[in-house]
Amino acid sequence: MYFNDDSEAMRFDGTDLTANMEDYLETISILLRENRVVRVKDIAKSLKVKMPSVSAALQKLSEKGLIIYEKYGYVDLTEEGKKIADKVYSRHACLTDFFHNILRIDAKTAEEEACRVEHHLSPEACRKIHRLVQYMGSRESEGPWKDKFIAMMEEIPLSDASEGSHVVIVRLDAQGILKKRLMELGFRKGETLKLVRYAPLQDPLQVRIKGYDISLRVEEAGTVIVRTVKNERR
Amino acid sequence: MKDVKSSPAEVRVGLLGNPNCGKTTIFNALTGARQKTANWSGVTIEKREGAVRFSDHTIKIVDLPGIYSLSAYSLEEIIARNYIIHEQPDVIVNVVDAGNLERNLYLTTQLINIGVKVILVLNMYDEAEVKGITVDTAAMGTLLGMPVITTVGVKKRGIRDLLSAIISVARSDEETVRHIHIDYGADIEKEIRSIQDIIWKETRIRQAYSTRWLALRLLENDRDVLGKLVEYPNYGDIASQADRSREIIEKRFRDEASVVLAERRQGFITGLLQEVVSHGKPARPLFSDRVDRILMNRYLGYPILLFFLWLLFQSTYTLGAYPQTLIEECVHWLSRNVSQLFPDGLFRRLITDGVLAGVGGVIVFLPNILILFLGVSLMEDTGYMARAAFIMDKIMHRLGIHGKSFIPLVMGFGCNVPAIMASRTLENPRDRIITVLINPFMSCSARLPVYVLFAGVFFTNHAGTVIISLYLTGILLAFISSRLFKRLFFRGESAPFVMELPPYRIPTVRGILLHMWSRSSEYLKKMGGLILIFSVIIWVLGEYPKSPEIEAKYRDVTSSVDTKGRAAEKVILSKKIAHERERIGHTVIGRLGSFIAPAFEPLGFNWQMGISLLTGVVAKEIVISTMGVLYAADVENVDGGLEEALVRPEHRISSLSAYVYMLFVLLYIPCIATIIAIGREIGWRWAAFSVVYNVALTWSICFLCYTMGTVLGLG
Repeated sequence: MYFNDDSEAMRFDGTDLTANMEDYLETISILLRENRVVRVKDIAKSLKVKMPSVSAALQKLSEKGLIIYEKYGYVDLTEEGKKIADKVYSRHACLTDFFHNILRIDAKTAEEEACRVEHHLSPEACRKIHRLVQYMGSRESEGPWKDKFIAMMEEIPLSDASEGSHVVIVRLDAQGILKKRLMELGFRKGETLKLVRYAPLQDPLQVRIKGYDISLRVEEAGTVIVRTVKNERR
Repeated sequence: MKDVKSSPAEVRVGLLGNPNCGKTTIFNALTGARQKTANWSGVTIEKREGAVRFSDHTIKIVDLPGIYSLSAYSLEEIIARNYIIHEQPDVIVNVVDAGNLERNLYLTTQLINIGVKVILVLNMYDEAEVKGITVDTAAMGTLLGMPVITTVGVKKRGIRDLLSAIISVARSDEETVRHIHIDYGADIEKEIRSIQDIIWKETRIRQAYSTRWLALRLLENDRDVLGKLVEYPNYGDIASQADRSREIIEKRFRDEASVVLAERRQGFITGLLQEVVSHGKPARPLFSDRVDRILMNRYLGYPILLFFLWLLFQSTYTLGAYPQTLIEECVHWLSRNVSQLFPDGLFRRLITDGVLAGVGGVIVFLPNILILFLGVSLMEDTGYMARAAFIMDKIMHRLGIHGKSFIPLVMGFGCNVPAIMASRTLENPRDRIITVLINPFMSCSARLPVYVLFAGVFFTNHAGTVIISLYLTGILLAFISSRLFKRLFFRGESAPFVMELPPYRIPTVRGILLHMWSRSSEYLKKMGGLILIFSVIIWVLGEYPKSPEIEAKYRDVTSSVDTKGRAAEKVILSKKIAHERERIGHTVIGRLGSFIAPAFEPLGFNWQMGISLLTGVVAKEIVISTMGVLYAADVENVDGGLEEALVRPEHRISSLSAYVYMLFVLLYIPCIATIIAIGREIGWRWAAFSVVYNVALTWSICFLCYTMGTVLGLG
């Protein structure tokens, strides 16, 4: 079978490997890029698994002709292995981009999310997500709608904001007496808050609004939808 | 003159404001010590009233609950609102924190249309000035249509101005007072008018309420206001017009009508403040921030809280012990002297053993209450209480109560009576009721002597462990009960925790003394009388009926003994004790004791233990003295004391039944004073419930323990 390496269409094709094996290939490829040489120990450490499991997996990959591996020696990828590893890696990178740049999830969490879903998506879904990431990154998509969209994606519940951060209220999802009380205390759209601190047991939390300090339970703060203010100087 | 609501020389004033705006300091500054505390009818929310004479007028002031708005969502709001609408005070004094006008004025905007004359008090004006805020009060007064006065409550500044303003507003010779409207914009104003038009048709409503206010409340879907209108014939029309108008507004603005109206009011405030307030350079509340960083620190927060509690506890019960001993001695001295005034007999015994002992029992708590409330008001007035609640809330919330419940619960280990009184710091009735109900499970210091005696006798080598196990059992049951009560009685009702963390303030000596004084006098007046009456009743039950035969026999015995020498004294003493024992057996309590003895049988208690439990209801210390009387009755055992008597085989007390007995003392009916405190704080029905619940729970647990223990062969 022959295929063109540069073909966009093929980039996200499936690999016939199990999720586990894909992870091994991907890890080896990343480690190779970082360190030039890869040992069983490094793989075990990176994937947080025991050395014997790594050896067993490497044995299998070696049988499939994807890696070159001798017991107690270095590990290297074959040409075939490299191709598959690249495929797996570009899928991972595309998803990380999607989570980070479009859904506006912080870089570290985006990376973790990508690891969690990358083996379960069809090539079609990957291709389309990749297209979306490309479009959103291009000038073509510029416009007021995009700013609005990004702002929307940056909304978080107040309970997810980090200690010491300044946030702007986007809306109140609270109902009934809680909403009433929050509004009386000055929680309104556009108002800036500072999350002063979480209590020692992470609940409740202290926020500063209009120069006043208010304590809210995490559960209640979850109904206040906010956006982090960047470079806020107050 | 009879049909005049209030004589011209009397002015009725309601004091209204947000929590933490310094309303109480203004109240204290206005009234001084001339104040009394009661509850609002039917609810357990404190109502404080006071009076002051000023330029030939008597000004009667009611301190309304601290609230953020008049929207009738909480009980406090309904109370304040009903007072304004139905009692029609001559003047409402609206106290606001001058340093936080934007939020505080929200309540003021709700007073504008309610149809009452208002004076706006910008309190803590000095602090606002430090923050760089200055207010043009004349302009503000004109724009709001009410006189605006600046005060500093803690320094009593501006109080005279306020008093003269109250008089002139009440006499209607104040020029600033005028009707103003907040303009809600053409769309909303149109709907307000269409509701008003229908309300207007009924003269009686027009006379009782301000129609614009009603229309606004109806637009905000205020069920309480709607309920007030049911009695009028055009109720149906009003309700359907209100629904229609609300719908129109909600469609037009794509949000709830109440939110839209609130935003308009906020807009009005913003506009007003732009006109009348000038900001200098605002100073940040650095001090509070620094203190918070230490007091709410991840690692230091809890040790500091524990230290403060330890300090409060120690001073309440250790320091309080000195005046307590003094009081006890005074009562003794008094009863000795009184007994010399009267001949031996019924009357003398009633005075000394009944009344004086009862009075002693009441005032003996007074030092504790004074010191405890000194501590609690210090914590509250400095702002630390809110911080303590803040760091404890997660744990307490898991147990179904509020962070603030922590302090009353800990205080319960000393004495439940002041601890239950301290539960008032909880604003929410639900939290308060649960906190009060579980307080008796906190093993108070009066129960300790019982544990010490029994654990010392029956578990000599493990006394400490046994006593700690009792304390822990109490805590465990408190938390189980708390969750149970929440499930049973307060389902679904959940009040938000949203609570202000006020900046730290140095409290005034005067404010704290007033707080202490009002609590203590309240304790003496409200609880003292009842405790006294019950003590006398219990005394009578423990004294009567008398059996002439027993009395006669006792006289015979004592007179037959040669009255000289130590040996003779010993004999007399033993006879006396023997007589006591026989006598108690004959009284109502004694009979009751033998009557309910079968109920104690399954728990392994003998009749002496049963009677001691009954007398222990007066105060748990009495359990031991009763036992002393009942057990030490053997002639040969006079010197041996209670410890020896308890282990004598003929009394059949096993270590198992001793443990179960301690458990019983820990959990059963709280003492009379505690029951009365519960009744006073949260209502007699809850007090009755508490007694029944505790007895039922205690009996079941003790039965379970005893039966299991017996099966396991621990008996």
